[in-house]
Amino acid sequence: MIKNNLRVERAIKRISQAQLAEAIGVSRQTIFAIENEKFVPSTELALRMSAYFGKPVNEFFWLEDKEK
Amino acid sequence: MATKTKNIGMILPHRFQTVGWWTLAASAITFIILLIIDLATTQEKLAAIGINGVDVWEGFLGILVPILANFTLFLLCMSSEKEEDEFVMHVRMGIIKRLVCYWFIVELIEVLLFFFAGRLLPISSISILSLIFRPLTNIYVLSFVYIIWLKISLYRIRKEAARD
Repeated sequence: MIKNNLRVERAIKRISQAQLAEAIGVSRQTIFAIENEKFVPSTELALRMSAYFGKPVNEFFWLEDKEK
Repeated sequence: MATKTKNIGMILPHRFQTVGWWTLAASAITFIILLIIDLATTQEKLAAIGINGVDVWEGFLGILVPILANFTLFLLCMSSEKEEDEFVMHVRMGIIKRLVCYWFIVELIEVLLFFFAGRLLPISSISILSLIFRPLTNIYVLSFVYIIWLKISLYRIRKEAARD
């Protein structure tokens, strides 16, 4: 199970789901589904998020059974 | 780094879906007209004119309905959503997996029921079973279920996202 703290990262950057969605080229419902762990994004999308937040992917996605 | 929402793997762009809803309405109207003509044609009338004497319009509509139905389902199933991305594709795949699973289960039940009904029940029961099972595994019905299921799933996600 892959967990994430996308909501926190978004709050730090003070952007809405819609703004993040627009920036990385997906719909708002996709960001909602990722934040609520209904959907695990592809590597491509995770890398686009990483570039947008300026942080490595493993800082906002991690495996549940491992320490972040 | 704004990027456009990607159309992942869908054959047709979203505008074809709108065309599909219009052709669905057209095929439904055509089907109703055909049904009215069919009901108005009594057995006596058919016996009098013979199968070759069937109205040209009825023959034309009889061909038009399946063509329109196929065309409509192709447009609706194969065109992308307004905002098609990998999450919508994930929802699509989930629905297709469930429908394939359902199809195998219903087919298995049907085969078993036909096998036992053929040996234990009167022959008329086979016709009744056939009437019940044919629509359950029909590709047109399953395609339509797929479209409606996808629309409902996306609507529910959008609604949840709006509440968030």
